[in-house]
Amino acid sequence: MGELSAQAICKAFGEKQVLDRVSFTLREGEIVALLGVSGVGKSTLFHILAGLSSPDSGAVLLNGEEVTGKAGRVSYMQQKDLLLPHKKIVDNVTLPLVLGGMKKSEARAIGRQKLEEFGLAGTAEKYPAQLSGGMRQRAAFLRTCLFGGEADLLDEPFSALDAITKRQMHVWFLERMEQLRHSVMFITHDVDEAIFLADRVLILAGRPGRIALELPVEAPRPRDTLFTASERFMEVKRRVLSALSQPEIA
Amino acid sequence: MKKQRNFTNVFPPLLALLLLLAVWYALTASGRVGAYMLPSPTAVAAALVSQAGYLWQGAKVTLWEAFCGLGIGILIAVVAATVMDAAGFLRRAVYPLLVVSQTVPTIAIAPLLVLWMGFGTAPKIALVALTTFFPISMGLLTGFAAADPDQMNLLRAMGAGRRQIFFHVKWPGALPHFFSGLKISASYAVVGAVVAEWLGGDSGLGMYMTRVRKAYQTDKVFAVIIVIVAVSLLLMLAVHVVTRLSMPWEAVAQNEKKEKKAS
Repeated sequence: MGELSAQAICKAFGEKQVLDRVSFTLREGEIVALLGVSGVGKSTLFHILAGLSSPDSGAVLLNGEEVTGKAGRVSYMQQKDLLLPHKKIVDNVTLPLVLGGMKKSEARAIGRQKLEEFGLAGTAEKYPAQLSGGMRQRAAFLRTCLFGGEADLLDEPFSALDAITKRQMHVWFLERMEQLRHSVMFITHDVDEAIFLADRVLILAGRPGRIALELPVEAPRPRDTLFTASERFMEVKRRVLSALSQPEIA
Repeated sequence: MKKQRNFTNVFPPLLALLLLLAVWYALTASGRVGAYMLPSPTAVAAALVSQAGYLWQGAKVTLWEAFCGLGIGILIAVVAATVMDAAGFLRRAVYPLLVVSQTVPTIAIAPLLVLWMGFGTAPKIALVALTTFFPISMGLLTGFAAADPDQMNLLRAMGAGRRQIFFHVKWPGALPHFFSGLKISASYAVVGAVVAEWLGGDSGLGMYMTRVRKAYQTDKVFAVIIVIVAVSLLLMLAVHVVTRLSMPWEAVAQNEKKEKKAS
């Protein structure tokens, strides 16, 4: 896993400036939450980081190497699970391996084993329509992991889930991360989710959007749900909420 | 439960068919309509039996022509739609021509094809191909254009090239459109072959039809119409089976929806 950094990224759509000199670094093995209101340019930023579009100015660096506008270097999980409806789950999750040139039979063998590790045993031969929302999300995450990029970009990975499933997925996600040690950056609207999962919280705010606050959570991982009731959690939450309520941010 | 639903599905059209036959029989039995105008159902049934040998020979030829023509039509449609999708300029150039070409009546092209290709099976197959490729290529083009941009971005983010995006997202996504086009084309195919046979040749249901029509053997005309319908249905059934086999996920998704509704 690697280190991903954004350097003074600016992006405009026509007259409208969306991102203004956005800079940050996602360090190796770190989980960073990107928090912000709707329409502030979070998904635009992720598109740029994933190399699907180019910034007007600024650069994206991966382990010090410039990868601006180059797709296929980091793993990118979009808001929708985007499992292809015509592929079985095992073929969906191993799609990045097959795209990379691996033989289908080989990829499937790996896929079957990984599905079990991700709590998706018995779903290999099913189609996405037969899975629940939580399972689909997990399958999408497994696909993202199997891509094996140097960093994971997750765009609102848990937003489509109901509250109970969401909490289970949070715990599950942190457990996975204990083993995988990926460098992860994820977008969320949910302050509690950001603090519970992340080592660091970035707030993207304003029009055009810029990094308005960078706040380390400073709580050791792994964490359990009790963390959400701790002093430290409350203190971080207070600071995030007060930052979000400042007029220049809203 | 399922049996009952099958029964309620089959019963109404069956009743309508029986009623139609009864009216038809009554009309011919009354003696007001001459047998050369409208033969009685029993006469048609008798013709079906007595002419079975000719009809079977003709059906084999016509079905073969329809099948080959449809196959070639599919091939042309896939190639044309794929090329047009890949090259925007070609699409803009060729698309209007294609649409206009479909307004030219089949019956007007058929004699030309006979003139160019002779009295063999070639002009028949060509006519079927011409009439069947259009619905399929339109279906495919619609399907390609409807490909989900998010799914394509997903593959791009994984470093996929255009070819890979085509085979993993665009083509499977267009399959339902392809098959709905194919269903229409299959129903055109047999008719296309019959029309081509009217204009010349020494075999096929169309040729047989022309012969008995000129002799005012109306019972045999009706018999051959029934055979044409049967052959068309057979081809459509084949398409239906292939559709189900090619897209197992569609059936699965439909079942899921039904279960959700039921629960």
